[in-house]
Amino acid sequence: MRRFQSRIYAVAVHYVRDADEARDLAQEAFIRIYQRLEDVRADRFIPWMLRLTRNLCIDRLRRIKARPPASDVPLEQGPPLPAPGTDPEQSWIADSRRQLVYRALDRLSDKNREMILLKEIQGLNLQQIAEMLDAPLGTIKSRSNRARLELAKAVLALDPSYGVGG
Amino acid sequence: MSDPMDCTGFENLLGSLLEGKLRGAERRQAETHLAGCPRCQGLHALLGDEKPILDAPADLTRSILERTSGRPCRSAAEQSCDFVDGKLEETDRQLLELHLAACAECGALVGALRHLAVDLPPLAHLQPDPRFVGDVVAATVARPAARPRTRGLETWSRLLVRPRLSWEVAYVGAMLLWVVFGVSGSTLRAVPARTLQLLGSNPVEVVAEASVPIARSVADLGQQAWETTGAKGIGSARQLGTVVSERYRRAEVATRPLRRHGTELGEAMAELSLDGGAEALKNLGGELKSLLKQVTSDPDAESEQKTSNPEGRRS
Repeated sequence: MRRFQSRIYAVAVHYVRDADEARDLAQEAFIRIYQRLEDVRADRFIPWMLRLTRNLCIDRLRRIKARPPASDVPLEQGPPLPAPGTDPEQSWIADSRRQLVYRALDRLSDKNREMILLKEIQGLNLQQIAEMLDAPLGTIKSRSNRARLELAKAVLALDPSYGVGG
Repeated sequence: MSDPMDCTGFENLLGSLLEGKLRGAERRQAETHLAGCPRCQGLHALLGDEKPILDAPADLTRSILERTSGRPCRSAAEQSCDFVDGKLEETDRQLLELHLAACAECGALVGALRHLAVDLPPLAHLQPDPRFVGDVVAATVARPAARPRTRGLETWSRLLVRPRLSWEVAYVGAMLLWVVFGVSGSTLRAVPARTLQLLGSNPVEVVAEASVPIARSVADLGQQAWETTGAKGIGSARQLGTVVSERYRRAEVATRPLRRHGTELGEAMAELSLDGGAEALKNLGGELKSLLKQVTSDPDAESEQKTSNPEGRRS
C-alpha cells in the first residue's frame, strides 16, 4: 500500500482537485482494491488500480455536481508537491514550474486533462488508455496529441518563457 | 518623334529584341517605342537581366504556400508531439527543424512540450498525510474481505453498466423482429398488418365477431362431453340399480326359511326338546350357508349358467 498510495492519491487529486475529497477517495480505493485483490492479474494490476480509482472519482464528481460546492480548493493554490531535491534554489524553481503546470492543467477541458493524467503523468500506454476509456486506439492517440498541444499553449499563455532554454 | 508602334506590337517583338535577333526597321521602331513608354520599359526590365523596377511583396512566397500547402505552423504543430517523442520520420524531421529555426511561435511550442515531458511525470506521485496508511489499515481490518464473485456474474455486471448495451439490445431486438415478421417466407408475416387492422377497427365489433366461433366451439365441446360422459354415467347407474334391487329381492326370499327355522328353534328351546333344537340349528346353518351363497353370487352369471345348463345339473 505504501508503494502505491502516492499514485492513487495523485490520481484522486487530479480528478477531484480537493485534498480532503482526494484523501477520502484514495482510502475508498484501497479498500476496494483490498476486497477485489484476488480478481486481478499481477501484470495488469496498475492499469486496473488506476481504472478503479478513476471510476470512484467520476462517481464522486457526479455526486459533487449534484450538491453545492463545499470546500473545493482551486488548483492555483495547488496540492502538496513532491520534494524534487535538496538544493533550495533548484527546489524553488522546480516547484514554481510544477505549480505553473498545475495552473495550466486547470485550464484544460476534462477530457484533455484526463488524457494528460493517464498518459503523461501516470505513464499508461495508448492501448491501456483505449481499453480503460472504451475508445478506439486512433481516437486516443489523436486526443493525446491534442491534449499535449493544448497544455503547452496554456503553459505558454501563463508564462511565455516556459519553453525557452534547457 | 512620333511612335510608329503600339504596346501590343512591342510585346510581340520583345522576345526577339531581348535575344538580339531583331534587325533593321523593326528594331528601330521597337527601340523608339521602348524609349517613350514607361510600361514597356518595366516589362523589358522585368524580363531582361536588369533589376526589376518593382520588388515582390515580402510575404508573397508565404501566402502562395499557405494557399497551396496550408499553413506550415499548423502542420508543424500536428507533428510536434511526434517530433518531441522522437517518432518522426527523417524527412519530416528535417523539414520541421527548418521551420522551427524560422518560426519563433512553433519553436516555443516545441520547447514547452519538451519541458512538459520532464515536468509531468513527477506529478504521478503525491504523498497524502502520514495518518493515511493507518486509516486505511483500520478500515480494511474492520471490513471482512468480500467473497470473490463468480466470473459469470462479473461479466453480466460489466455488461449491464456498459453504456452501449441499450443500443446493442435494441439492435438485436430489431433484427429478431425483422427475422420473425419481415422475411418473405415467414408464417407470421401477416401479423403486423392484421394487428394494425385490428387497432384501426371498433373493439366492440372485433370482440363480438371473435366471440361467435368461440361460443360455437364451447357448445360443441359441451355436447361431446355430455354424449361421452353423461350418457355413460346414466347407463352405469341404471345397471347398478338393477343389480342392487335383484340382490335385495333374492336376499328377502332367502331369509324366509331362516325366519321359519328360527321359529322352530325357539319352539324347541321352549319345549326343552334337544332333538328338535339340534334339528332346527342344523337347518338354520344350512339355510345361512345357502343365503350367503345367493347374496354374494352374480345374478347375470347365474342366469347364463342356467341358460347353458337348463336341467340344473351341477358342474
